This record gives sequence, C-alpha cells and structure tokens, in this order.
Amino acid sequence: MSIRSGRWLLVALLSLLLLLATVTPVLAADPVTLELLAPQQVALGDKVEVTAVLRDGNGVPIRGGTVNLWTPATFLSTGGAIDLGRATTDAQGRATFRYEARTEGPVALNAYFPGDSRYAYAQGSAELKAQGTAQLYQSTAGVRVPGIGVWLLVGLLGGVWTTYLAVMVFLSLIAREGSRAPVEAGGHRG
Amino acid sequence: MDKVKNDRREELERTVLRPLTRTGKGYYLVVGFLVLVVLWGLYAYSTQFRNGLIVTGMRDRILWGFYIILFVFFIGISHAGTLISAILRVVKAQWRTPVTRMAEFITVVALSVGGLMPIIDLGRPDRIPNLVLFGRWQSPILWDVLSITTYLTGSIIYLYLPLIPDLALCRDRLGKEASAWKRGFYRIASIGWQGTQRQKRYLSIAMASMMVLIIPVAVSVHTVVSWIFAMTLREAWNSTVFGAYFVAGAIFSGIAAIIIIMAILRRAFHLERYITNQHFINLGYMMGGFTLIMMYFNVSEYVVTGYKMAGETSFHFLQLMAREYAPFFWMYTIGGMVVPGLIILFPRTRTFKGVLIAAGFVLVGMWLERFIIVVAGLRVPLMPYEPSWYLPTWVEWSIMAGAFAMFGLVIAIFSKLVPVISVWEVAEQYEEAEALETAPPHGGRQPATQPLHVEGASGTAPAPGDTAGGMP
Repeated sequence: MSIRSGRWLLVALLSLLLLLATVTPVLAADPVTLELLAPQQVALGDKVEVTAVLRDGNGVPIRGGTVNLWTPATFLSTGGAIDLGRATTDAQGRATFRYEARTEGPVALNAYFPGDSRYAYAQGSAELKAQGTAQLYQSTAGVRVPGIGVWLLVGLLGGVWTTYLAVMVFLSLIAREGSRAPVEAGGHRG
Repeated sequence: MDKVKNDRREELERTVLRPLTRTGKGYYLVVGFLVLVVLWGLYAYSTQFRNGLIVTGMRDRILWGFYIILFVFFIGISHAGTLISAILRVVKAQWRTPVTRMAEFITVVALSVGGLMPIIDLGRPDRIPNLVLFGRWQSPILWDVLSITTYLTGSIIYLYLPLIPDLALCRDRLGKEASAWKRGFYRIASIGWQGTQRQKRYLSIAMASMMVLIIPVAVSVHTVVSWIFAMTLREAWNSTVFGAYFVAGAIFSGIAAIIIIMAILRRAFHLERYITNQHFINLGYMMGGFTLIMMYFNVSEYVVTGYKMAGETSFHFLQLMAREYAPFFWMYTIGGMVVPGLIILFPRTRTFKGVLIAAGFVLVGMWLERFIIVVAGLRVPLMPYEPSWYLPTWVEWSIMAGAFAMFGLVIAIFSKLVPVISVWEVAEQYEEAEALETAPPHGGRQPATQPLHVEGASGTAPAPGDTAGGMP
C-alpha cells in the first residue's frame, strides 16, 4: 500500500465517522407530535390563548421542550415569517401563548419544535378567523389638557360662523329696508 | 363748492364705471390667451386623472411637489386682501380706499385657486368625501379644510359687503349701457340698496364685525397651513415659529401680489388719478417692513437650528446653502428679501417702478421659499437611504401655468363686472377731506393725516393716498 492510498483511506474513515456522528442522533431520535390548539373565531383586538401540545411517539407529554410560534406575512412584494413567541412545555406537554388578533380575516398560526438529542423535529398549525371593525390604534401623541380639544375647536368655529350668520341677518335687514324705502334719485349713495 | 364736489364725483364714477361697459381688443386678446392656458392646464389634469399621479414627478420619498407649493403660495397671496384690507380699515388708513376692493378680490380668487391644489394633489378627487366621512379632529389636514372654508366664506362676505353700494351705483348709472344679464345681476346683487340711513347703519355694523373677525380668521388659516408641515415628523420642519413665519410670509407675498395686480389694472383701465404712485410707495413701505420681519425669522430659525446641528440638520443645511438647492435658497434670500429691502430703503429707487420691480422679486422669492420648504424639506432622508430627487413633469408645469392663468382670468372677468375701486368709499374720503378743510382752524380736532387739497378752479383734487406724509 502506497502512502497515497493510506492517506485516502484515512480521509474516508474520518468522513465515515463524521457522518455517523451526525446521523446517529437523528436516526436515534424518538418521533414526536405537535398539536396546535386555537379558537376558530375571535373578535378583532381580542387576546386569546393558543396552546401547543408536545407528545412523544407513545402519546406521553414531553416536558421542557421549546416550542416556537410564527405566522406567515407579506409586506409589499416581500414574504416572510413573523416570530410570535417562544414557550417551554410544562408537565402536560403544553406550551401556552397569548395571541392578539390585530388583522381582520383568517390567520394561519404555525408552531414547531426544533428537536433535540432525544426528540425529533415536529410542527403543527391552526387557523383562526378574526372578525370585527374595532379601531385598535390609539394615538398617545400630543398633550392632553382637560377642556381643550375638539370642543374648543367646535366652539371657535361656532363663534365665527355665528358672526357670519349675524352679518347675513344684517344683509336681510338691508334688503328689507330697500324694499320699503322709495327709490330716490342718486339713491345708490354710500 | 357743491358743483366742484358733484363734478369730482361724476368724474370718479365715469372713470371707474367705464371699463364695465367698454371693452377693448386688448382685453379680449388677454382673456383669450388666459383661456387657452387654462384649457391646456385642464388637458394636463385630465392626463393625470386618467393615468394617476405616476405622470407627475412625485414619488414615495418626495411626495409633495408643485401642487402643494402652489397651495401654500396662493393661500399666502390670499392674505393680501382680506387681512391687509381689514388692517387698513381698522387703523383707518386714509390711503386705503382705492386699494381695498382689489385686495379683497385677490383674496377670494387666490383662495379658490389655492383650494383646488390639494384636490389636484390628491390624485383621486373621488376620495374627497373621505375627509368628512373619516376625518379625524386631531389631524391638521382637517383643521386646514375647516379653516380654509371658513376663511373663504368670510372673505366672500367681506368682499360683498362694501360692494353693495357700488352694485347699486352700477344698477342706477349704467342703465342700457350694460347688457341685460348684467343689469339683472346688479339689481339682484345690490339687494335694494337705496343708501338710507338705516341701510348705512346696518352695513356699517356688518362691515365692522367682519373687519375685526376676518383678521384672526386669516391669521389662523396660514398658521394651520404651517402646522401641516410643522406637526409632521420631518427634520426640516421641526420649528415652533412656523406659524408666525408663514403668516408673515403670506402677508409679504400678498402685498407684492396687490402691487403687481394694481399696476396692471391701473394701466389697463386708466385709473392713474385714483391709484397714484403714492399708493404703490405706501404699499412698498409695508412690503419693506415685512422684508425685515422675514429676515428676522430666517436668521432666528437658521441660527438656532444651525447652532445645534441636531440629527439631519447638517444634511439639510448643506443641501440648502452649498449643494443641490443652494441656487434656489440664495435666490430667495438675496432676490426675495435683500434686494427688495434695498429698493425700498433708498429714496432714489423707492418709486413706482422700483416698488413694482421689488414686488416681482418678492413674488418669485416667496415661490422659491415654498419650493425649498416643501421639496428640500422632504428630501432629508428619514432612514439611511439615498436622497431622492423631485423633477416636475410637463403635467405639473402645465397645471401650474393653468392655475396662474385661472387666477388672472377670474380677476379679468371680475374687473368687467364690478368697479375695481370702491367708488362710495373714495367719494366719502373726498367728503371727509373737504369737511376737514372747511372746519374752523382751531375748533376741531387735528386730522391724523394731512388733508387732501382742492387745487385750482377746476376743482380737481389729488387722489386719496396723495398724502404728503406717506404712510399715515
């Protein structure tokens, strides 16, 4: 065996070992299921509970697993995933999230468990539908002074338009006076 | 004495009413040209209406252009009239009488044309009802809509009130010389004015109410216009003095507009006897005063923000003073403020022609000022992106030309419908001047301004405003 053949053999062996080290845990990982539970209908703006349940292949809850919740979204021509949160499963295998429905219509919710040395990767999804026309955005800009606001604006405008109305009354008085007074020569005098 | 008085009044009426019944070829040529430009502007707008705002130079980064510049410009000019006229009336400036009518009319026309600009800028005029349906009281845009409609209504009333006696004059004097529809218009619009004591009292109360009310309304309008900018989170518009700065700029450009339009109408209708050079010089003094106010505001604004150089101020200052917009900025600063100020300052240049040239400089300068505020202000990047450019397209140039032509056209039509000088107020001023002259030398109060003198046997008198003291 030449030195060159021995080097190739060594590389092949090391590669095989590396492959085994990578694949073995996966092959060995137990299969799991991830079920995502969410209400089907919610009112726009409601905060609802979304629960992910993680179980192993025998249906036994897995404790301490990290579950990620996300929803797909598009903005202009760009699509992506919005990360909604991360939670750890309890003794019942439940990871609980609080989700606020801020857009009207159906929302696709997705969860995944990334897997670890023991359990395999798993994912689940659910769809909820948000309905309503509530105004969710409340501006906090500006200074709030009691008594100064819309009514001040209305009051100011009301004052101006009332004066206009009073002027109109004077115009009608001029017209009435004109219909009473006899036409004089040079009556146009200012 | 009575004969002299009557002759003078007759001549005043004849001169001022002549344009209402006689029209020269030149007038039709000017009107024809203006109509063509307006039609071209309408064609440009129809192109924009069909294809959307993509045919303009406005894009997502610089999202306002000529339309908003014109909006601010015309609303500014509108201050010419009502505000200046009201202030002159309130302080009883003797020389005001031949000026007020034109000033008040400029207000109404400028407001109407300026008010169209945001609608054109909207791209989708069918969405205008949304302002009412979904408008928020907290938005300066809604304040703007409310204040402009209030101001326009007030300005129309304020224009109409002193017109009533003159409409009655047209009704009584023009007779068959006026066309049938004009006669009908004068009859209806003069609402039966006979000049009785009661009618005079009612008119006086109405005018006094309006002249006091219209001043705060006018000030509020341009303050609110400035808030559209100042209440937006933009580096270049972060200013607490924008309201006062806009009001001062509006009156400044308004005076310039009055001077130019007065000069054109005086020439066209041979009103030299009533609108004298002294009127222009008096308005020139006002314009000179506002030049100083504008300079003060500019120095105050740029020195304070430049001293701190916070955020993107350095970008804005560089683009204004040394880079992309430096020609506009310096043309505005030097051409729009320094040069007019110097023209008014020196007695040698403080003439009719000098004031007229200064007014031209001011109008161009103030248009550039609005360009700098709107376009350069929007060019300052909000995020780390490349600064954009605004290049107006033929559609925007055409609509701007159409707007100016419409402004001129409406004034031209108005000048053929009603007297451009308030005849009864000028006549009253003559009577007051005569009363002062005939008063015993030590018995009465001293006049605030030098009285008008009756010259020679012909009974001709210097026109109102020919006071030796200049500004009263």
